[in-house]
Amino acid sequence: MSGIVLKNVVKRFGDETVIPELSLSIAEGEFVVIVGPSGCGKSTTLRMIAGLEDVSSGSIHIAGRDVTWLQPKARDIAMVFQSYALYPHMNVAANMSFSLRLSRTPKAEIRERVRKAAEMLELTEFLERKPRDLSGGQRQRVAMGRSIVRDAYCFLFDEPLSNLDAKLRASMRTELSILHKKLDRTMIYVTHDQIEAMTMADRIVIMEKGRIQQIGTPREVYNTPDNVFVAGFIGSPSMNFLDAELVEEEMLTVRGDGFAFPLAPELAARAKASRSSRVVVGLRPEHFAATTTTGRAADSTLAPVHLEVDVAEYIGSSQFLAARIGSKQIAAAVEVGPDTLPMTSGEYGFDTNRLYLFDSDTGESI
Amino acid sequence: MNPNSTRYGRYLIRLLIIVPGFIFTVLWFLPLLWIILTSLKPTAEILTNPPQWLPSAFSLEHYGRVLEKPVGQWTINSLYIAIISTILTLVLGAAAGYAFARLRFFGRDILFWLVLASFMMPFEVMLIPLYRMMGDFGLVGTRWSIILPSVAGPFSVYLFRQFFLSIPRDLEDAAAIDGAGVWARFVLVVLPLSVPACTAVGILAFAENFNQYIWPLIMSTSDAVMTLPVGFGQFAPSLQGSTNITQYYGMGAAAATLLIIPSLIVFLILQRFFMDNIITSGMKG
Amino acid sequence: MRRVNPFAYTFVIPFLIVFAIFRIYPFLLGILTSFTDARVGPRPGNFIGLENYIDVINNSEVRRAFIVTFQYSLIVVPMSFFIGLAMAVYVDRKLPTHTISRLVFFAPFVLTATIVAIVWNWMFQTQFGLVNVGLGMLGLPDRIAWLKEPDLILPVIAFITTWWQAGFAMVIFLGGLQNIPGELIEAARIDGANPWQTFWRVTFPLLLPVSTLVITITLIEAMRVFSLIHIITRGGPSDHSTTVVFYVFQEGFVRFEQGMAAAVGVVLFLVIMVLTVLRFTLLRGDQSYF
Repeated sequence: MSGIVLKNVVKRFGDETVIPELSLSIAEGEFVVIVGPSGCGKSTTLRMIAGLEDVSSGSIHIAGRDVTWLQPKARDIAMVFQSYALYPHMNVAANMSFSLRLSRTPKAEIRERVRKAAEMLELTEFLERKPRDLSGGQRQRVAMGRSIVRDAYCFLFDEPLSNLDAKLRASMRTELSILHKKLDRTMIYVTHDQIEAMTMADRIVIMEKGRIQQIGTPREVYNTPDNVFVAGFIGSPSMNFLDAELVEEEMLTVRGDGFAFPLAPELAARAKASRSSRVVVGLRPEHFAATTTTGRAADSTLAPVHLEVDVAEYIGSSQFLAARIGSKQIAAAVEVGPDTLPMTSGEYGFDTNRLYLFDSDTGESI
Repeated sequence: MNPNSTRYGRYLIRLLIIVPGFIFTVLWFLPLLWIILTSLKPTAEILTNPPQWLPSAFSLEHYGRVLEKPVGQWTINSLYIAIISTILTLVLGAAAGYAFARLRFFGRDILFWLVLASFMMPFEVMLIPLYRMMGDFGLVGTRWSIILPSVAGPFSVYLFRQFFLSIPRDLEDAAAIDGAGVWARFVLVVLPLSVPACTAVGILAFAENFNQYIWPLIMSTSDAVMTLPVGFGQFAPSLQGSTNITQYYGMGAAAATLLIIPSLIVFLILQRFFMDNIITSGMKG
Repeated sequence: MRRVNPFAYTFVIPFLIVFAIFRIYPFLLGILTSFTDARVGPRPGNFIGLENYIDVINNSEVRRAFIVTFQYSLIVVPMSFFIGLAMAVYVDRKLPTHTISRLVFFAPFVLTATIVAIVWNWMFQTQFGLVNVGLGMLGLPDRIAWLKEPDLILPVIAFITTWWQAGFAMVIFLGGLQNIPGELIEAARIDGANPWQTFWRVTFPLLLPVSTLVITITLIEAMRVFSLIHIITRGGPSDHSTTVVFYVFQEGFVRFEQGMAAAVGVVLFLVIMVLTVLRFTLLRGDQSYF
């Protein structure tokens, strides 16, 4: 079996169980992003794969080998750290070649591999510099270069972009995706930033409190979240949750403080099957729509809802609203057209095809 | 209020601080200046009241008499003991400090607790047993009898451990992934980043070992092991008979000057390290 | 299951061997010896139970040594404390004159005890010493036999120690001063405090942890005072400067009553242990400035 497999991995620090039980398999060549809020166990998981932390029980396999009790150096992995962890006393070339020198690779080969990696990352002119003389983005590249030179079976990334400014982060995301295509290696990437997860991952692993909440492609986790946590974590701005009751009217309807949405037939069927009457309704901000000058919802499939707008922020393509439905604070992102009304309190529309329902006790998706 | 008067008031206050401070500084340095001048005076000019500040002619007669003693041998002993002690303190202290800071091994916590507890054991308690042990080991009258007890101190281990704890752990993790074992991590990554800690411990250890008095005094059975502080103790005038006391003041001054000058030069070169280290080591130790 | 690194022992064992043989073993041996009547020589001495300790309590010489040491501490600790503090406050400015002062104040600390002893022996010389000469110039009594007056000897040794080591206290105070945020001082001034009030109401209370540090360090050093005594006074006049360590030295290496000397050493250890524990418990309360 190739790829990376974690079987029933448990991690305790003293009396505290950080990861109760975790199993995960990652295919060879896949780009998997583990995402979750801080303290969810994602970094610990990565460090266990790297061999920097011991597992309390369970096993880890890389490329078919049981590496559970192997030293990091024996696992054929490379890793990029959040702090980059560049050796301050070595220049860029020495940083990149450190592992090769330790494994007594022939000098000519070291030179060739460093040259190639440097070229790929556009670092050639900086090879003689010390890390302190580089900018944040350059340091980041050196950290990548150090991994690339290894030509390891698997690359591990521990929040590698979180020390960069927003603009640089965006361009590094693209570069990382390109790099993955070029190298064609298994990559496991840990981040708390769901945008990084959405943009780069083949598959996303969402973790909270040491448990995997959902595994799926970016589309899957966005469109069909398994539970409230995933729904709230993926998507920006995050989903609004409103308490509601299922009521049988001319159509099955969710009704709550200040709103009532008829359910689309498919969802209505599932809601009936679930037999819950108290539910949580999930509304993504981007699925709200503004009313037109005619005073009606722009699209007849939209259900009307009254928003009490507190603040409207204009950002060009659309407008963010901090508003209230009933007494509940919500966020909405509304596209701005030439004929939209000024953003004030009033009638807005919501696309009921994009509505999510969750069981209010378990938080599971209906 | 007239703004000018407050301004002059400020100058006045500043003057009231600086002038006494300056006088105090001069007085603080005066003893050293005085002993240096004394060492250069002919014997006849030493004992005068009112004092004769500058010698009428510089005289090196006291130095000549000091050098009749085996001062060269004492210097070699002092340097030998201080240098070997310092090197051993650095090597053993850094290695042990690293293990206590970063490595997992059976008994680590209790051993480190013991190292900390030994801060409370004053060296004076060990004088008698150490003396008896050195006899048993046949080390009495050797330089090693002075070196070994000073290397056993907990200070360097503690300082090194504190320093290593402050090195970002990611660096060592990165090195582990790059394929470095424990010793490779220590030698290739951690030690090159520990130059400040090594200088600190090195300077403190050297000063301490060079200046120590009571133990070398007990171990100095002959000129072959006698150190400068112990040897120069013979020039302290109050310990001499009252005959020809003048000569001893001159000799004492010459001997003192012989150590004051190099001590002050080293201090001036390394003063930053001295003071900074005391701030950090004092705070934590 | 925890992975223990077998190489770890290669790091600690060299130190631990030296540490065990030359620090822990002699310490335990010292305690053991204190229960014997050991004299000099390879014979370990007979076990005599608590006799040495009973002697420590009953022997007026030992009691005297402890009293002398405590008296000396009572003089030297406040002296070093306030002079060190004053120096630190004076020197805590970036002007060149203050930099020179800082160097001068600290310089004596790097000298070995022998030099300090020789220098001040000469300074305190009765007829021609600079101290009496200076007093004479000011019209004060100038024939004081500083080193031979029983009542003056401890203050004189304390003064010499202060000259030698106040620079150390100064540097620690400086560290404390530099840890006090400048905004606090500015806030106090805006609140209308004059410099004197600012110092005693704001700066000094914030130096409390550093002060405890200075006091305990100088106190422990004072309990161990030996070198200056040995070179300048040899415990005299009569026994007026026979401190604990000087007594241990005399008893153990001149009179060769090593069992008794060891017992006094153990008592000294107990005193120092109490002081050290006190220092760490006092410090633990307020570490916010470190």
